[in-house]
Amino acid sequence: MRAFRYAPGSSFLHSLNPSIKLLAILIVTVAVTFVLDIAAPTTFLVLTLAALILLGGISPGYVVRSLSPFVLLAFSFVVINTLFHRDLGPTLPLFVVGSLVVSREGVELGLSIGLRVLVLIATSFLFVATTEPGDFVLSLVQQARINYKLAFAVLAAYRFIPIFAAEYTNIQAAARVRGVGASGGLIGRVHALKRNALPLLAGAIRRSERLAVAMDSRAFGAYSDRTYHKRLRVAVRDWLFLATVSIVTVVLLISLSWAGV
Amino acid sequence: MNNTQVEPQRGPGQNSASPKPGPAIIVAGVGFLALFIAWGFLYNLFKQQWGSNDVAIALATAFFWLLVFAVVAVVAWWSKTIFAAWQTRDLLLVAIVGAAFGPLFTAWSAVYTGAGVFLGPWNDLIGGFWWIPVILIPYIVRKPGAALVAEIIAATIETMLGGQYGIIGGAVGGLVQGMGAEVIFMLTAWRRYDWLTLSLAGVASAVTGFVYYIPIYYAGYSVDLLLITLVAYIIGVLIFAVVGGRLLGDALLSTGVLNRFAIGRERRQAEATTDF
Amino acid sequence: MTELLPSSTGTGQPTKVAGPELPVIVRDLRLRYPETGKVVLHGINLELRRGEVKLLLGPSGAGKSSLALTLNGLIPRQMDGEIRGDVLVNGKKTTDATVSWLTTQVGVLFQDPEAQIATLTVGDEVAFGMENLKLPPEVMAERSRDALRRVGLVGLEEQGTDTLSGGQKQRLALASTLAMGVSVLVFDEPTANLDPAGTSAFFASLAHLKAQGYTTLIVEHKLDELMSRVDSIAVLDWGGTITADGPPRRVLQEQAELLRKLGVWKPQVSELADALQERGTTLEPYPLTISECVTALERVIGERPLPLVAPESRGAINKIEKSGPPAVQVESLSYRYPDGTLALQEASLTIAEGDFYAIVGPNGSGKTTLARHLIALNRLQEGRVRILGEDVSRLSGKELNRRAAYIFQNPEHQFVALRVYDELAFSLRARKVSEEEIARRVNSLLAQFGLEEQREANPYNLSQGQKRRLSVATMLALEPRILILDEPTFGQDRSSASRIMEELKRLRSQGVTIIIITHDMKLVAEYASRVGVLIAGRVEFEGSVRELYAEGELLARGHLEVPPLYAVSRRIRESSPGFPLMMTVSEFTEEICALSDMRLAAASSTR
Repeated sequence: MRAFRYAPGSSFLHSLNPSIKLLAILIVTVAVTFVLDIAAPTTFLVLTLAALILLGGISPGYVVRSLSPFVLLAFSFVVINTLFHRDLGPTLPLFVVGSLVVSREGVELGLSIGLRVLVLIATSFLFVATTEPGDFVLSLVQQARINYKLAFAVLAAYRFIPIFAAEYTNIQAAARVRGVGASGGLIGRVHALKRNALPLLAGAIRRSERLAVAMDSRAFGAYSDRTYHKRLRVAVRDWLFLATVSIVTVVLLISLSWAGV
Repeated sequence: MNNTQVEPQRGPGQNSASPKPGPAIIVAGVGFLALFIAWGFLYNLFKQQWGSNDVAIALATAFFWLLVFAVVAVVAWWSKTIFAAWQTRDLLLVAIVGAAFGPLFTAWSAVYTGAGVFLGPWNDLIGGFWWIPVILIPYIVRKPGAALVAEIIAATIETMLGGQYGIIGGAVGGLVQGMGAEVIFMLTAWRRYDWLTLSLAGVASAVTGFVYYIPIYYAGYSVDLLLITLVAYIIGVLIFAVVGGRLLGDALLSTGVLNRFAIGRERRQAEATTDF
Repeated sequence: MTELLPSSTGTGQPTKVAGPELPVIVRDLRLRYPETGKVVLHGINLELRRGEVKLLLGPSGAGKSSLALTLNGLIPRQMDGEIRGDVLVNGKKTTDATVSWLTTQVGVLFQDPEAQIATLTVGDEVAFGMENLKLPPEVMAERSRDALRRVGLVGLEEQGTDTLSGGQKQRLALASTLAMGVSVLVFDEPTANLDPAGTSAFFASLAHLKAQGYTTLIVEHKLDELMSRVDSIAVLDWGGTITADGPPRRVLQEQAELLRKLGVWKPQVSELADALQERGTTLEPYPLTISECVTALERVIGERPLPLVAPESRGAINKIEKSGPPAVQVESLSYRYPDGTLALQEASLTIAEGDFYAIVGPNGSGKTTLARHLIALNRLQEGRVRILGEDVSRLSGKELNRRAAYIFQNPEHQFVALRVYDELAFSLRARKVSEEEIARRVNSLLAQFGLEEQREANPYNLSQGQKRRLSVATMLALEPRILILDEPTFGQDRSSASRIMEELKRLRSQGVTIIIITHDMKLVAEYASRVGVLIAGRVEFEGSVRELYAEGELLARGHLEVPPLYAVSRRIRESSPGFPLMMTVSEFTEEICALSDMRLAAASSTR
């Protein structure tokens, strides 16, 4: 299975209402932006990973495979914040690289931001891995009350993603046969991209028109609302989950920052 | 400011009454945007006043999130009225073209990473590529909410697929960027799509996007680095999204695939239509 | 809401569709598109009786699709288009009816299977239309089951739509429409993107629907299999008017000249009848299907067939070939996609210089993957590929391009310029050829492919046929010795298809080796000198077309159908041993004429 995708299952996290799950994740990620220490993001990261494995039934191997590519990204945040951080008042210099001073406070700040980035990605993975895309869109309409036309446009776009990925590979090959993009290098790549965008987008626009006609032919948009053969509900466990996440988040945030300061 | 009729003729029975944005919405939209952008400076003021005072930063962050969720609320409220009047054809164009940008963005990521070696902190110059839909889509569709719809759809997909920015960075960030561009188009009553309007929309979108990232990713940056990044954002968006996006739109127009969309219709309007 | 309740009982056998005697009446319909100012339809008059299946024929661009969209009111409601005249569906004018009502009366199906599906699972898709009509969930469940049963997709409710084949997607979209309770169906080239297996399955569903009394208007190119299911034929000409309308036999026979001029496909057996008619032999009655053709021909041949001269070999255009040195050698080529599926398994084949080689096989059998290896578009994993004696993995891109050119299925994917002239000049400019020389070569290519008038046009704005010709022309600019084409006649009407095939034939006579990937066995019979059959990544057969047709079991496994005329000659042979097996119209005509000449001679000598 490709990394960072929906992993079908019937765990507790899978059974939650997608909109409620999304709300819970937003609460956690917003909370993380309030603190600039190491303990809080670490705790949230550990809790998220534990939830993924214990409550989501996701295999640790799949978690590692999906998240490991982002460790490097997080590390780049650590480095750049360590070197180019804002004025932190009096600091404790550890060592000097050229004209840059690496201080203890700077490293801490960097680690804090790097861990925060990991929390954002891990929570996002938790949502993606345990939420069936069709149910998510359905829930956006039924619970979050977004416009259904918009929701079905999203669904169409989602369905076309793999199709366009395959088409793009084909277009690249066709361009190579014509001698475009054969030369490597950055400039060559930009050039090929410019050329490949047109057939891809022109084809996409034609497809979108055809699908619109096909959907209109089946009364899409005939009424301002529609019915659903499948209904998602918000159960008691959804509310309990949301409440638990909120309480744990607030408690952790307060206790950790008090303990930390 | 009331006449938002951007499309010339519709068949009978076609409900073309697109909701007209009252002055209240415009004031609210511009107000949010101004507050939002101003907050970036407030944040730095806070930091300079109190140094690394955690309480001050927490307050600034809380204020920030209130603003963000106000923006999200406005968007949600808007989506009730405005998007209902959109035709399936326009909506699907936005969605499916958005999906088609997927492989292009992936290809661009390689360029972005490769260029990082040369550009260092100026790497975000190249990030402007990611703003192309925010300019290209309104340029084609020319309807109230085009920039926003483009970003709402992109944001939802991003949530379904995940990615390096996570839900709060990618999805919510997209909404904020879309709102930035939308306010500029709103100020022209969605009638002008010339270089100036597109440039302003691009800059507004880049600035809101940048401000949004301050408390999330750039909380530790020095002021110098923040300024460099902001300038890189703006120049990048102008080069790639505004110039590149518009040229791409013109190229697509010349292929004939946009004949039945607003951009094509407006081009034809000069030609006299006779009865048959 | 009562009018939306199920038209069938839902539980038992589907009941017959009810409705007025004339569910569709089109009176003096005219249509103009404001975006081009072009008048597409020019006074259409058309009627469909209840339960009638009417075939609509016409050249591409004549407005067949537009006519289809006026029937469900999408034109002029949702799409720009000004109409005059009336379209009445089940007694109501489309301009007076609501969209929701119309969608419960008329269902339309289009050609691109990807652009028919709106949701992620079969169950969601079949309910999609009903949900838009705000039907209550209980009704939907019942109707969904019923509709899926009608198209043979029952039990797949939970399956993802992305796992379906093109044919299954088409039938699913059809089910979604049926579930809305329609009584009139409009099909706009529903099998255009399907392989033979998918097409057959789709036509089978069509037969069921006909039996249940649905009124149907179908636009289709693949007539050989369809003819037995059609009640009438209407012909739409270039001017956007219906020039003929009536029973199939009468229209195909009496309008033979018109249909030829319009470049419309006909059943192969009818083509034979036309060709024989020209030579003075009449088939009675005019055949539409294989069995009718057999009966008519047997009457011509008579009870006692004369011994035939040199059976099997005479007239076979493609058969006797002296093969040159190998142009392409593929040796035990295996290839695995990144996702792990095996696309090719030790595939080996040899294509001689000067061959017209056809690669055939079911969808997903690895045809394209194999062909792409010939120009190193796929990285070699296992095995060996040589073209003109050189290992492709050792050739540079430039050297490869000089030897072989690959033409993709979608011409647009290969376009690099926004002007036809620049498109053709592109590769020459890249090779630093002087501008005068470029102008000379480009102009000659434009003339050769009939694109002179499109010189300044944007390649994307050309017709399907012109795009295909342009994509071939661009690849010829480099004068390659091998030309590889993926589905060269895909989605083309007859005149542009035969135009491109004749051009390939001409190139072959100049010594260019032609390799095509195709599903069209009539094309193979007419043009190919050799065939390779790919099934599940293995080359299961290599040889002449005639040899392939003798392999009944292999044909069945590869979902390959012999051309109708081959089936005809095989059937005649059963009663008249010694009758030669023939594949093309010209072959057949020659044989029958020779036969009657001989009998004429025999008759006069006995006198």
